[in-house]
Amino acid sequence: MSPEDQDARTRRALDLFRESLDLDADARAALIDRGCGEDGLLRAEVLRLLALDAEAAPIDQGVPVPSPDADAPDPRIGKRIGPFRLDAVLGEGGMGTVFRASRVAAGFEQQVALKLIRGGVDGVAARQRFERERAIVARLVHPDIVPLIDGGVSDEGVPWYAMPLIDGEPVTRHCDAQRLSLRARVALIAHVCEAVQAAHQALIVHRDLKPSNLLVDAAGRPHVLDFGIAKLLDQSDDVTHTAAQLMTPAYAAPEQIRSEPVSTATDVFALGVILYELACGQHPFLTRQASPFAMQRAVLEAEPRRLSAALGERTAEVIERAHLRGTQPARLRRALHGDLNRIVSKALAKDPGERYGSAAALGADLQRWLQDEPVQAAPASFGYRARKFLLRHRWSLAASALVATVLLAATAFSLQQARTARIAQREAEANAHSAQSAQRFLQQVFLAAEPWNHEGAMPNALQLADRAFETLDRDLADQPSARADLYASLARLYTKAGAIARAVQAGERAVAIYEAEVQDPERLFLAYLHLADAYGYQGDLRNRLRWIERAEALPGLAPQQRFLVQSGHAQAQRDRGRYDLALQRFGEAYALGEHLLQSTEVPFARGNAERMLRRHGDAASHLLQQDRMRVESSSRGWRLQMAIYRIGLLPPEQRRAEDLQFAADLEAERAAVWDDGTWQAVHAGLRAQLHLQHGDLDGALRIARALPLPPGHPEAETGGYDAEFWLGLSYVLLQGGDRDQAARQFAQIESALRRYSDPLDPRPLLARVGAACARGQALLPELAAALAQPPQPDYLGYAWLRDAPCPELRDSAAARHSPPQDYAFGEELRAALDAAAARLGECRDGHRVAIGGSCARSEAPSG
Amino acid sequence: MGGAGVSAYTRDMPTPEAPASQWFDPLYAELKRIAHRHLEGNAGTLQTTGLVHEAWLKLGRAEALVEGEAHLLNLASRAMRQIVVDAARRRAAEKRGADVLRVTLDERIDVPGSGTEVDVLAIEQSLLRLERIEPRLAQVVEMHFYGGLGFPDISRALGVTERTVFRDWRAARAMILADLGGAH
Repeated sequence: MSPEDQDARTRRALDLFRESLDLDADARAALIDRGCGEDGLLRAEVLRLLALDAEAAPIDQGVPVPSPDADAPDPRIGKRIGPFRLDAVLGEGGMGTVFRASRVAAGFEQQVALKLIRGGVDGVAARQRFERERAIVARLVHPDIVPLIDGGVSDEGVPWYAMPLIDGEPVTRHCDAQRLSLRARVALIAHVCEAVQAAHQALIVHRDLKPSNLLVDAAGRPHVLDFGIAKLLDQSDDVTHTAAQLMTPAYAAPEQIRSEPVSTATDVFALGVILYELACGQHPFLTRQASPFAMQRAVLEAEPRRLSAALGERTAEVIERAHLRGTQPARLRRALHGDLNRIVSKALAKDPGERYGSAAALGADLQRWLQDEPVQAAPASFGYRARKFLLRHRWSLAASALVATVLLAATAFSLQQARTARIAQREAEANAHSAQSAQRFLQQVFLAAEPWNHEGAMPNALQLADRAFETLDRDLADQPSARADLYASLARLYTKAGAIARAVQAGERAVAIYEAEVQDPERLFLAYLHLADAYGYQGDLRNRLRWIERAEALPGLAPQQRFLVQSGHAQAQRDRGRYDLALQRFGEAYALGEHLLQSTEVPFARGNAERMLRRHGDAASHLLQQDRMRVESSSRGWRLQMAIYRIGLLPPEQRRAEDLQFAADLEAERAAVWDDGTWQAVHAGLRAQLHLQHGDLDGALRIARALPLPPGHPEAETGGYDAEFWLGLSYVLLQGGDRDQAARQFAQIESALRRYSDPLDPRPLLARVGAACARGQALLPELAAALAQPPQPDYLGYAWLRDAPCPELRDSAAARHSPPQDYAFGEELRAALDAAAARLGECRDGHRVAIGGSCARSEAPSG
Repeated sequence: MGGAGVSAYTRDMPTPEAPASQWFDPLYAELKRIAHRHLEGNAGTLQTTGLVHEAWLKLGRAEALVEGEAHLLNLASRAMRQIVVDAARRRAAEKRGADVLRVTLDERIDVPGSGTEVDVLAIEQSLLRLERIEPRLAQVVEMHFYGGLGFPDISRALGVTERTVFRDWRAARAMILADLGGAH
């Protein structure tokens, strides 16, 4: 066996190995059989390769580097540098070696840290420049900045400087070792900001802020090192020193990477990175691959994840990080959400002009955060932008869950149909076959890009969905039923992911195929409803209504289907501001509600109906029931939302001040778990209302100020259901005296409503009047006349008007007509809540559903 | 040499199979020099980041062509491999015990020593064999293992898909492990 033969065989083995990587066990075995034939040695080699592929090995951890002579001491020890003698090596930095040194003067005991800079300074001019800069830096005096005691250029041209010996550790390590709480960490950074500010005022930029330059001593005091050194070294023309800066791209600002001029905002960026790490334990830009270019690109282009998301996904990791901050994971996540995230985002803005202009500004906002005051950092335009980030986060987490969902959704329904006796045998077979084709197709698409174990990178499932979307017509051309089902599933997937335009496209295709080629009214019905949903998310209320009406017009709908479409219709009307029609529909839906499906939609619809009919007791019990069902469907965001509603349902005398804080905490947690910008207005509005009912205008004002309506906010999210709550928040601002902001918001709301609402919607009037009031204008005669009319009796949002600063509003028929409280309850409700909760606990059998507090057997078909 | 720009070195786009071409040696020597300095200065940790950054700057990043970046990555990885193997040979000659340290990719990532060591010289033998059998596989190993580069960067440098790079890595890795007598 010559080496050439051996090599040839190995070559063949490697080819077979690679080909087999994408195959399942059977296909792999077949391939090996075909490829090896009689060649037993070849087969053995391929199998060996495959076996080793599955094992972990030290080679995976990286290349070992031979160490320098560990025993031989640094040859520089004992040398004289300036007035000092080098005693021992303290450590290595990116820029050079740090020694412990002592002053060589009779009777003078002084120990310092002396840093020898790598590289050299050549030439008289360069030396002079160096000395000049050093003199400037040496004048920097601040209790928390480590001063430059001495410095110079040695005879060999090595620059050096000396500073006092600091016994401390890098801020990151210190915080973890002491298990400092989040607040303590923030306070520490705020403290550091003051020191950095002192330097900024002397026009000195640090340029190389990083944890190893922020030492904290045993007493917890921070010390900032190496201030201005980077600039000092820049004066020398040796390009290695510029490189030295970039050796820690982890803390470099974008302008530094691009070699553009630095400014105080550069230091702010570095502080932002450190703050980010201290807050959530994760570096904002460190990528998995950590190649230098990937890192640079990340700093230049990538937006860091939200703190609460960056905290981690693996439970063990999150618990560890929370432990290092002396708290529990849930509390930490809550605390990381909101203002702190805004502060960090502002500090980490790519454009220096958008960051805090100075360290002092950053420090001031941190102080405000510590004192629970509103911060300067304006929220990034939420809604779409929030969805974008959430999208990235969600997909990396849930790619496999989504695959399962899509597979399940596509096949379960069809298979279920196949099982039901109502359908003829052949049809059942056809359905089962089509479902299996669907499954196979999906497997091809999704499993073709399995997560790569070694890299651990999740595929971008949205791209996979797109690919499925594009190839569906071609690959399942002869299976209209499967195709339609998959389009419908993709539509739901896209909706969940926020890719609404795509969702509408997919939904339309599904409907077209169902209508033309598939005789299945049940699936067509659901497809209509889901398409209506998608249009709803787009803010296209007219199309939403249109498809709901199409669904309604289908012949032979079962009672539960009629119920679904009625409540969908009712919601659509309500969002358009037609409360009268909505009430009517809810009433009709309610009357139909005898046969209930095991779905979470039904109690929600009933709860809504009750609320509008002012049968609060029943409303509460239905919402509780939905709460229970949502818990069982393990959708945490919903559970938290319902808990917030529930607090609102408590009678005022039973509500305590702590409940308000609890509601705020729940909201923060809900938003962290289920970060959909559209619900923020609703919850903020509800919470503000709670505060107002408590007589706490300041609290309500704080909430309203924390959620200003951004000028560019999509109208789809300002109108519709949210408009009532945006109005309420704007009225709170008006009450609090923020007239300009209120006026702007009212104008925006009115514009959004104009696009989407109905002529009979009472809300635009309130917006117009609010705007006039905010601007201190007298009401136009027609507005005054409109206000004098009896208001829409079913609109519950007039409660905001009672305390408006303008007399016309306060005295208007609307304000007088409104029920004093939206959620006023008495003792009987309390009892109803308790009883319903108790009975829900008794109903464990899946076939039993609680209806208004009693258990009854459901008539719905099983499955 | 500094300031001439990478373009000066990459105009002819030579291939790794012709390493002795005129432009390659001076550039390669430069990289090695830079790498050695890093090695000395950093108490045994070879900062890939710093190495390539410095080389990048030295050679005039602003003028680099896209192909230039790829070649530079290639060369940097080769330089690293050369240095590590040379050092291992010296050690073997001195019959010192393996006193290996881990490569860290930046000062914050600490990869604790697991106690097991990688036999650099044995890997080198295997890699030389791999170069004979399929050069691209050896390149992938060089860039990933010695250069510490991620698959996206490697795929760009070699002009193939990431999936291909990943497959190549797994194949090369398995072969090397087989040559080493299985993972130990």
